[in-house]
Amino acid sequence: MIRRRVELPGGPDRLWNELTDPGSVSGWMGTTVEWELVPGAPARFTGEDGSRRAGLVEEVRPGERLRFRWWPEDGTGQASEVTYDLEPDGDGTVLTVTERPTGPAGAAPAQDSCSWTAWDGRALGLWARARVGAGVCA
Amino acid sequence: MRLTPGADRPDDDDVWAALADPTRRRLLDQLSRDGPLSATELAPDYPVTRQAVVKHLAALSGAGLLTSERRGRDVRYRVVPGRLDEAAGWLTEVGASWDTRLEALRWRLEEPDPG
Repeated sequence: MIRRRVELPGGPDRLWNELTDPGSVSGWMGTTVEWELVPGAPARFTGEDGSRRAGLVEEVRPGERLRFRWWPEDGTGQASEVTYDLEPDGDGTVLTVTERPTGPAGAAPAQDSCSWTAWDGRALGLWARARVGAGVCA
Repeated sequence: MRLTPGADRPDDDDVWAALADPTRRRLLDQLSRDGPLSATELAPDYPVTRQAVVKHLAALSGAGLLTSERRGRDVRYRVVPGRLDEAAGWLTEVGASWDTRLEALRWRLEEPDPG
């Protein structure tokens, strides 16, 4: 698991915007992002080198926490879960980034089967079910 | 002496699942330092039964992190360094990516807020 903790200038709201607004994300992340900030919504990331990742938004607490999963769209390599935690600190904000591997990109990990039936194409299915309020995860 | 390597090419998720458990990480640590050792030799250092240690060793072997060799009645385990290197490679690569991203993010935030 990777963890990075940095103190950044500006309040949590400005940082939240940098972390989530697609127009801002492409300015620092080395990738563009398409997502809707709704738990269960699919995401897509396109790197500067053209590499593509699919993803799934998992937790959205504006100004406090964002959690999503992402994995290479071609099914190779690792899938992982990224969490941003924001804490106000004086004039600035402490950002903690955590990324933990969840299994190979081509297969769903056995644990956590509730929220994680969602691999690429299947992410859309989960998203659709979440949208109609069908309580994917009781 | 007979070598019994783990599964042919275990999935990466086995590696991460195996490493997720603190007892298994400790076993791996100890074996990379003092191995090869048998479950009987390892067990007294752990607050779990010998049987539980055997199960953990099986999980580590299944993930391709350990090989075992039988000597008489004893099965001794040793670390397969390559498997851990792959996991370490992920950590290095992903860590470096975040260092670069967070530096760029700081640059952006140090500019005055346009809003």
